[in-house]
Amino acid sequence: MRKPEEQFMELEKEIRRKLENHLPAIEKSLMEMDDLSPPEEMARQFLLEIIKGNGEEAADLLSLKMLHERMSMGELVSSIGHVLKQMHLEREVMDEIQKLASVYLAVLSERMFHHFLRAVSSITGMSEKLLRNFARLNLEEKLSIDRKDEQYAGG
Amino acid sequence: MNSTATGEKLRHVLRSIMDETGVEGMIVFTMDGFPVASEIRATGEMLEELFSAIGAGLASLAENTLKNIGMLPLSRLTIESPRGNILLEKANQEIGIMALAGPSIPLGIMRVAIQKASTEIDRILGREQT
Repeated sequence: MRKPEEQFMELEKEIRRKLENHLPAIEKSLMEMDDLSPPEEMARQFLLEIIKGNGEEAADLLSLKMLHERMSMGELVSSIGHVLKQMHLEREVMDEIQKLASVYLAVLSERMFHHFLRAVSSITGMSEKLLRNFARLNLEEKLSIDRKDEQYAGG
Repeated sequence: MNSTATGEKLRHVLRSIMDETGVEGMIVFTMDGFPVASEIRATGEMLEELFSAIGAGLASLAENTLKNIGMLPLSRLTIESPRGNILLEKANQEIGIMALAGPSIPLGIMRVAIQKASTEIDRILGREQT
């Protein structure tokens, strides 16, 4: 079975192949954009680095910037949407860029999760294992409430 | 000794300490928040997992607070309420013990209960230092 990283790289290659002829124009368009709000500017830089092939490094850097600016993932996703809309791309090209961005948004989410885990662990002194244990207990409690709700609904 | 036998032995020890002292609940947990053994009479429901995670969380927070002001080590943590008290101590680096009791049980008795449990845990888990 292939490792997730290999599948991930293959997916990126495939998207890049499809976008090959459009990449220079997309890069130019992203570089020429102005009058953006600060979150949109962060989204633009992120997209630009992804197009240039520096997605992983950009995700690393952006995760720190987002923590510093207290920016949420929702805000970033919405800003990416705004930037893409302003580029007036063909539907198919737009879809492929969104796919490429999703790949690196997943990397970014993972980085953010680790920053949070490390921060909470460092400030509270709770081990990462204990924090994961809290999440598991909370999930189990939620599942148990859902099951009870289903029972009531069914009964 | 297998883990079921060890767990049963620990529970037996907790039960006898509780009978002796009037403490209504004792929970032994790892500092990762996993239960080692417990006896809880105060609640109808078995909340072993939740109490273990909360106990480990409280101990970590208290230790980190003391660390930040240069006041380590943590001796014990006391939570007082008109309806009862909770006392928490670390038996060693990995294990914590929490005792729950009604307001009529003096804190001193709860400390004795925890100290007894700590000694027994060391003995049963083979950590007694000679």
